Amino acid sequence: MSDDVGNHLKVWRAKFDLTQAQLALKAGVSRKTINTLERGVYTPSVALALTLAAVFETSVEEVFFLKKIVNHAHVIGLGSSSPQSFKRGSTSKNKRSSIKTSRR
Amino acid sequence: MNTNENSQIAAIEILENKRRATLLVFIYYFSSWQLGWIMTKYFSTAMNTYVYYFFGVLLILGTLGSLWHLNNLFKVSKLLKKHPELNPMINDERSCSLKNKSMAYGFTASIATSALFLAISTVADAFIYTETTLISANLVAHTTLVVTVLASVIAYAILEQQE
Repeated sequence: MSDDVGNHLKVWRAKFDLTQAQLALKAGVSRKTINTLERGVYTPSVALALTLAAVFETSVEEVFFLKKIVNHAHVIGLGSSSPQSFKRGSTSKNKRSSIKTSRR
Repeated sequence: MNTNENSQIAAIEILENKRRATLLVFIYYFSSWQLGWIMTKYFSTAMNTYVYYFFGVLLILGTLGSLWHLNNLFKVSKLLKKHPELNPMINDERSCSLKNKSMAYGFTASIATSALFLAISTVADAFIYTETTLISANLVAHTTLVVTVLASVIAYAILEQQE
């Protein structure tokens, strides 16, 4: 589990000039929990991920990300898109441009 | 950072360290107490007098240490009562997850101990059955209980150390 989810906690903490202990206090967890999160040893619950994102006044995707995405929709035939389109950084903008190209 | 935040952070650090120290002390004294108890109660006839005295001393030290440890536990809980707002931070989701994991280790240890006793008694019954080779049910229950408790607590200490 911890191998799958990465985070930018350290970057956000630096941005807000917070120590691990200060962030822990704001998020309502212990300093060790923040430390293990930053080192990627521990994966937070959805509630904690949302709380941390709220502390940084941003969305959860800006702080946490999936290291590798398995395209389950493609495997079971629900999605028409290829696994490529699920890769991180591929936006709906890219999809829209590809649709436009195919229409032409 | 204001003074209130600073004092809260310091209090959390103190509580976390105290909890860890209490856990380690508990492992040490509880294992001494129980080992001394089991050895002097069930194996007294099979051991040398000096070995018997050694386990007797271990039993006394373990019992006294456990009582002292109980006092420490009261102190930690008093400190927690003083700062009730820190309770959810000390027992946060990572801590709960570690507790669950260590419980699973304890359960595995309990099954393994029971299986071991079952195997020993089966072999003993099949090949060397006499009145003296019978395993006391009290010994089995006591040992299984001690192994389960110690496995859970030691697993928690190790898991926390690893993280």
